[in-house]
Amino acid sequence: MASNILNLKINRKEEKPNLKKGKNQAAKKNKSKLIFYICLMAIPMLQFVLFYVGVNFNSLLLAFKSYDYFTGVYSWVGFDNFKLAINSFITETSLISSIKNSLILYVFSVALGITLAVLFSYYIYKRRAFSGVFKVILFMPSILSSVVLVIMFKYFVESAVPIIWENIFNKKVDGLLQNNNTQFATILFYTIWAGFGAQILLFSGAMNEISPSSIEAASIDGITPLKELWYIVIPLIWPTLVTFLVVGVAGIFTNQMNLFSFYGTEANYNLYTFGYYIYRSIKATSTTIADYPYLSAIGIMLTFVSLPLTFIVRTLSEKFGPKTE
Amino acid sequence: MNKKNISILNIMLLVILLIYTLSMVMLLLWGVSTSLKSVDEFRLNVIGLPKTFEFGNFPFVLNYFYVPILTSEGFRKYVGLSELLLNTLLYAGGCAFLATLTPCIVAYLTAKFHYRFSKIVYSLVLITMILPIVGSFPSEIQLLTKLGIYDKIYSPWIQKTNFLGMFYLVFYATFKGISKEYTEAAYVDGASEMKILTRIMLPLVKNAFLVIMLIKFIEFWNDYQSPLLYIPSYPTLAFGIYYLSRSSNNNLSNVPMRMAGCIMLITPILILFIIFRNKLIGNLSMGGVKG
Repeated sequence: MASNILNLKINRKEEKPNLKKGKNQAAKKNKSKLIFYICLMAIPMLQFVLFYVGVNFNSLLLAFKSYDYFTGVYSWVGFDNFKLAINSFITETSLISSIKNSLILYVFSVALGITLAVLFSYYIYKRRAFSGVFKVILFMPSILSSVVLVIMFKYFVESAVPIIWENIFNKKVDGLLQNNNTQFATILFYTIWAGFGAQILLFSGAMNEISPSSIEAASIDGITPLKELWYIVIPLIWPTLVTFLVVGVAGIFTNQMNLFSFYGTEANYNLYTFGYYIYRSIKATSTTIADYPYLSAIGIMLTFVSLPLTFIVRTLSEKFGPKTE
Repeated sequence: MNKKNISILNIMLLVILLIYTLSMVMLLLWGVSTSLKSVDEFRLNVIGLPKTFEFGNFPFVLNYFYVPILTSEGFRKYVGLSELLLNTLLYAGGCAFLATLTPCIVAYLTAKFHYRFSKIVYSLVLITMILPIVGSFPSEIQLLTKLGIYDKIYSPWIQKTNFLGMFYLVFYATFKGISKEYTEAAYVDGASEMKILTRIMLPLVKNAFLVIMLIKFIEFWNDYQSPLLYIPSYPTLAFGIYYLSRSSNNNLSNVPMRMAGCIMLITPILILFIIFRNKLIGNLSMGGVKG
């Protein structure tokens, strides 16, 4: 993503209009150009206004309303939904564990997920042994259906892992998802394990844009790979990393940690994340449109938390990141 | 391999990556091997290869695979495999095409027509990408219902006719990279704007277009959550597999049958991936004109 944004910045040179042609002809041409532009732009813009602006604006309005299921009428209730939502954040087990789990997931996916992704990308970028195979394998989970992969993984850790364990260590263990102590860690592991694809593509893409001369100069000095990665490669792909971190902040509140694929609507409360909470709430059989205003209020509250957080992450990573210029 | 290539970092990474590869390959092989076992054999032989290959699992799943849905009139209806496949193709194919065409056209307009509005659109895309909006599903369902297009097979097409996101930026970069020379002659000959777009510009970005459409197709093929939210009456195959994994009251609710269903869902995508792997995991931003 970021590498593209960077490209664009370089490419954004304005072209000067051609002034050589006759004025009349040019005016006519400009007019037909404008008409063409408006015609093609109209539908995407209408869609944007309805499904981006409209949906989010409606979400905001919805949060201040209440729906009477029997009369089918919406009425304004001020901040009632927000009060209810704040109350749930303090009292509802599922939301309290959502706060905890979503943060743990974010920390792990940054500390472990992104670190490994950078290392793997570096390995692939340097074209070390089997890097072509590794790239395909790392990308595999992104193209395979998440339900399928989850089903396979689930039955594997439930039925095969205990047997393998018993064969090797001669000790009986529960399935990793059955055991309450390993349940969360197993799903967390799965989420990171299956999530490398896009990161590897973006990071190794960014690394490919590094000019060979900066690497060559260093290799003459006899630099070790670790130093090369730390002092040359990471500073040069830093903008891509920042973009990933910044976009990732919203992930704190939308990542479902694959819980819906694992458990449908029936995950244990202690496993909840915000993303799962919101999606599940809509699909749960007990939910009716009367619950939508409350859910919108929760969504808006989370948006208002993630907005400053996004900018904090951005500012921090720009301030404390390595300087390339 | 010369001396400087052999370092602790590289060896460690090689080991980790080998373990990763092994875990992935093992999981997939275990899935395939399980799908070929009979239910009785699976009870006794969980990790070994099947002693007798039960190829009959696949036709069995094909025949008995269905998803119950509630129609808008409140009736229970059973959706069989052929209808699931049709829904999937309509959903994934239609959405992939529109979700690629829209950013492509908007990128062309904003990259090549220097109106102030073009710059606004460009900034809009960047802003919406970092603007974290959480939980607007209820509002979206409400809006669709109000417009009378909730739970129609074409409603996702309308939802996905959207230009926001990173693929707009990919197309934008590609169009910016196309030199003026390609179109100058056509303009002198008095070709219309539409002709220039369809005869010159679109063929030039054909490669990027197809790759992005393929990525989108795979994404929508696998997506069961959006159909579940927005078109509950038109279940797709991926949703069918999700349902298969959760349902307990039919003769497919055992591990080998579920694995057989899984293998059938991923096979077409795996084939597509193997054929196009170089394009899919190559550097997209470099695609474009060169091809």
